[in-house]
Amino acid sequence: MAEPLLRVEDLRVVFGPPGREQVAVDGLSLTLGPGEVLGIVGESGCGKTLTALSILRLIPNPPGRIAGGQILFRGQDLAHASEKAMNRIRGKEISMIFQEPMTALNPVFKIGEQIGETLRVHDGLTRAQARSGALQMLERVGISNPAQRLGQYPHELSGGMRQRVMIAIALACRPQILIADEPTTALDVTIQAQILLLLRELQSELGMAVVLITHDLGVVAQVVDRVAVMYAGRIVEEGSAAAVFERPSHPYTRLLLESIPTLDQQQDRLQTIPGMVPSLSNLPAGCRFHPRCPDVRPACREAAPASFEVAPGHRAACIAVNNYRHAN
Amino acid sequence: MPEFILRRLLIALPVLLLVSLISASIMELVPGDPAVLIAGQSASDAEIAMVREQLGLNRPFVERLGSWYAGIARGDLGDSILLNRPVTQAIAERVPVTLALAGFALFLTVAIGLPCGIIAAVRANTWVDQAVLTFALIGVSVPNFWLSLMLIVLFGVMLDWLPAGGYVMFADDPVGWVRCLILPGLSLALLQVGLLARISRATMLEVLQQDYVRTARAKGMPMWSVYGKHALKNVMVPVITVIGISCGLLLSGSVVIETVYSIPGMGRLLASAVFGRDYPMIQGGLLVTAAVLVLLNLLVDVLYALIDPRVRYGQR
Repeated sequence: MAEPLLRVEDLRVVFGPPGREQVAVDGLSLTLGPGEVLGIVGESGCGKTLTALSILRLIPNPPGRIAGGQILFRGQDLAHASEKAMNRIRGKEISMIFQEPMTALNPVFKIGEQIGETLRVHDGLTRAQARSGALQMLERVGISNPAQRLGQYPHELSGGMRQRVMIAIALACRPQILIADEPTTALDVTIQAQILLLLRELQSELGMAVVLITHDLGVVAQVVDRVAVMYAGRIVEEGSAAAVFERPSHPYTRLLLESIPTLDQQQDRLQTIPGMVPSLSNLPAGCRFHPRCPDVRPACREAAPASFEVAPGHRAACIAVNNYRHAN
Repeated sequence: MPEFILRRLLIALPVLLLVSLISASIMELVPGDPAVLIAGQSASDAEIAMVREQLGLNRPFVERLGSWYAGIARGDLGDSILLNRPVTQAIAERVPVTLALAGFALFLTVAIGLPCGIIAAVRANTWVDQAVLTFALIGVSVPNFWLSLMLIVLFGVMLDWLPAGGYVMFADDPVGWVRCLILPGLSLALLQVGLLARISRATMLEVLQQDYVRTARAKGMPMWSVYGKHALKNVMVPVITVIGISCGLLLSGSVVIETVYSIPGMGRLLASAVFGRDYPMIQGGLLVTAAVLVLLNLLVDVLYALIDPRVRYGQR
């Protein structure tokens, strides 16, 4: 594999006052190659959004902060970069779109201004140039009457339209990486499909890398190259989308995939994973999934399992995987 | 927008009609005979009859109401009993003085209160925030007549930096005019500064939690733009309403301040009219004050719609 565009190493994000910190992201490592689409999946509260926010250093501080690790973007460590350096990266090299298009746009500024100001700040365009740049972006993200929309305010647009505007803002400066945090969760199903298609198109057109965060496995299967499954602040399985979906190796991934209802099987009850996601203040020792794991062994309660290679490029953090590999 | 302003003016009209009706009824509402009250305890019957004639109290109420409205239409609010001159003249002389005082206090309120509140929110839970909160608490708790006296003693008498009272016209001496307004303006503004600082701090804290502020940061906007543009314009929506309320409070607060600093404004004119039972003057003053407040509210509504596009949308 070529030199990764982004490499996160041993990232730790903690919350709360010093001394009573709770660890929300614990020793997370991942890489993102140029033009690659990486999916991060997991239940609510597993730390996927925090991981995304850390990359752009947008974690609200206080109460949260990055307590350790490195975030290397083209050799620069973003975890320790100055605010000024970060502002040259945010929106220019790495952009982000959010879950809630209804509130992510500023209600008191016109659409054209909200897109154009990124171009003015990062690319030094004049007002007139930024306006025509904004117009092009609106056209590109498939908004009808783009010239008229430039002068409108967010409340005059529907949710799907607003998410398109957010995408236009994020991609205006042609970033290397787009981080999309549950970009379709708040939208209707038909609109979801349109937005995903648009993201996929723009990704191949601009050749950018995408980190797609979602709890929707259907979304992941449609668009990503590689997938990382998170549980309670750690990555439990990582591999190509095909490998993870066809040969899920961590029990959590398996249960997650089994809990998707299918039409070809007659089911009276929906499959669920028993138990609850542990709260940050009360994380279990050893493997964090062991209280819910159907295959739990004594060793699971003692030490956190290392990450084992299932197949080249496909890793899972479960001792059962290791035993299985040795048995073969 | 012109349509919006016109609509607001039309809404203001019934308010003004109601206020003028109330002010016209003041003499009906006073317990006892206003003519006796004005002429005094020891007045003879002839004197009382004369006062009654002068006030038009010998005519039926409806008739007096008719001539009151006819007078308003002509710009005539009757004659003052104490000053022996038309009420409109006396008011026209005094209104600019009060507007200057209240305007200066408003300037201080916004120029001090808003930045203090914003900075406190941006630096929440630091010593800066604590200092602003303490200052704001002092501002809202110190009675303004006491503050006035302390300021007069310190800056007017002991240090002799500023005049302890009185007023000069701007046209006569612009520097002296400003010097005369500093102490009364501060005394009048301090309470409003405290209120505005607290409200802008609270609003800014709330706005900083909003998703669109995070979006602005994610876009790589520099700090001045995140706070001074994206957050500030949203903070101004509720703050402009508070400033409108402050305007009314500054106008009514000027009654005390004008008395303490011997400033010949509307407040002192009306206070002496009340003490002297100068009913025509009270009626006229009430009407003019209400009109000024209604216009201020209109101005606030217009500003509100200019800042928040959603308000304009709702009005269509």
